Amino acid sequence: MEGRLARIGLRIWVGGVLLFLFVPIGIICFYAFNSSNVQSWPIHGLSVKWFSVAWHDPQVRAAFLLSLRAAIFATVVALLLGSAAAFGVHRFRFFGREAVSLLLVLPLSLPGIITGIALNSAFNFAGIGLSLLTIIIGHATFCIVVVYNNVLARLRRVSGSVNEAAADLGAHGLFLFRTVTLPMLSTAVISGALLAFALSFDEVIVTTFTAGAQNTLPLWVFGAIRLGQDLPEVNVVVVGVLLLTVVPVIAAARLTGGGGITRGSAAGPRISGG
Amino acid sequence: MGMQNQGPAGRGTTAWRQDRVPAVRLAGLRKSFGQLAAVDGVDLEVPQGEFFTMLGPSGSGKTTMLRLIAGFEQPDSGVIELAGADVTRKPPYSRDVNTVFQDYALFPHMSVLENVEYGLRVRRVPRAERRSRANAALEIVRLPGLGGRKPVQLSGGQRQRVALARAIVNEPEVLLLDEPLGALDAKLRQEMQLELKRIQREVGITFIYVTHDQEEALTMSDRLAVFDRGQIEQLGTPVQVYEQPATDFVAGFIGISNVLERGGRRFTIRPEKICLLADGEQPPTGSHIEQGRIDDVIYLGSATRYQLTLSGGGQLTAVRQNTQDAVAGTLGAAGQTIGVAWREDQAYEIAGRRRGAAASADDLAPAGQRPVRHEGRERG
Repeated sequence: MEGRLARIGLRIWVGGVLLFLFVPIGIICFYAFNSSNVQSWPIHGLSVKWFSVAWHDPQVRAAFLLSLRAAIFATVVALLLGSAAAFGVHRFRFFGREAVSLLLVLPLSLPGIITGIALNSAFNFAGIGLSLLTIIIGHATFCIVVVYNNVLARLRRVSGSVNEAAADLGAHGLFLFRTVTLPMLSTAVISGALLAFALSFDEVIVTTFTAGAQNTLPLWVFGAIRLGQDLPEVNVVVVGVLLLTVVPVIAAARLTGGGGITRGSAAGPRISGG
Repeated sequence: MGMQNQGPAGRGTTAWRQDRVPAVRLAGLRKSFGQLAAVDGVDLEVPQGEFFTMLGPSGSGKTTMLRLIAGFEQPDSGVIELAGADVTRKPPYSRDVNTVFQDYALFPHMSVLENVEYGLRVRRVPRAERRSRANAALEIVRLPGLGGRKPVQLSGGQRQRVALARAIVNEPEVLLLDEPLGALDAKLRQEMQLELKRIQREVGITFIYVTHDQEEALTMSDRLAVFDRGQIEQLGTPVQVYEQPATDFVAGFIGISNVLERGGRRFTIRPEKICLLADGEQPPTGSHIEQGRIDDVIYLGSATRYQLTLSGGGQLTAVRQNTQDAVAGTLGAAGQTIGVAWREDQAYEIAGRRRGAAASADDLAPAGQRPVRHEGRERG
């Protein structure tokens, strides 16, 4: 009896937590279809007109494109540097290897505001004007970690003897990399990239300090809410951002068997094989 | 290397095997990891077509030996020759050896057929020939029709066979097997022992097999080397190594060790060579006889094991087959004293305690290769 009660209680509890997490998001999605520009309950009617308004708003467009470019470039940088770092740490034994490993992961656990301020003063000091480039650098600091963690976890899981087996069968260099190493890493690399993209696309804090006068989409949302203007458009944009970030995260989770969605978790991808 | 007679069906054998050049020749091989000498001066020749086993406890250097031959490790000094060619400094991918790894190391993203084909693909063998040779290899390991599966979909025993097919399809000079049966359960292991032996005869490739399982080594090998601390303790056929262990270590590692000391000489006798005498029973002619107290009687089903303390000093394990007229218990229970006999020519002198701690040069010289006489009562 007690077991059953506990089970029911637990279900209610979990349900409550899920509601707590997702009801606000549900509400904002619902408001995106509100025909009125006043957010009041009950809503006056359903409409998709704000989607059209948002789509044609040049400010939203500019912000969206900036976000997209920043996310794509940050992801590319993260892919190159993150994978390279993972390879290096995995393959070579060198003095300070553990320290390097820790330093690579640290930016993810640092509060964004510290990363942001640090980067901002560094750019000032170096005389680099805030631009798309500085946004990309800012985002890359945490995007690298995601790719690094994903790839390193996979490298550790894939038995080293698979590469040895390929060499033993006569393969080496690029052929070995192309036919064995890369295919076994590909899902980890892709999921790392998707997560990096999602992280970059909705980042606010670091962006605030590295963006200068331009607005990324999250910054535009932030500004609009603070000024209390264009709230119906904000709802629509939020729905868009939500889709753009949720889809890659889900895809990444599927690719890695679930382990990859924990930000910065070293417990990573699962590979089938034996 | 000469690739005559080589076609999809396999190596054309006879011309090759009569070759005088050994498949593998190792000279003065040494490899240390830090302070530890994993391989400490090994000289060895393995003739073509032999099933050769390197037997030893974990940490004895046998796996390092294999990795040196495969090229995954570089020796600190010494020479490795494959079919007469020095490959000491060559990388793994340009050595004509293939390895069956302990964990199989199959490529998880490839099908079974693609796994088996990989070595041929590397060597740019045309697709059609590749297919037929890979299928032939799968046939040899008795896995026909499973080419489309992924490794995850196979059982442990099947993966083992795929790993084997992936290696033999390349018809290497030497096939290296690193405890390939270690992960299988006992029954499957016995089955695979016979299979490996059959496959080796069928393809005629030199096998170098690493194991810590003495039974496996005795059943399968043409010859074996017993390793301890990076050196070869004894090299010989299974019969030689089992019947005439050269050192304490070999006697203890293979089978049950009975090491006795009589008149300053140390020797070993296998438990099944010892004759336990029932009351009034006559020992075989030419036997050495002592009295022994039974410490323990252990019934093993097909045999009974007796633990004895000899009146002349030392302890002994004797095994007696439970034949029709020798049923367990008829010889008496623990605490009784009975006659213990063995033939002089079944007792082999061995070298000192262990190598290193050992013994003077003349102690080592005659090590174990011939029976010794020792003092004691004798019957004629």
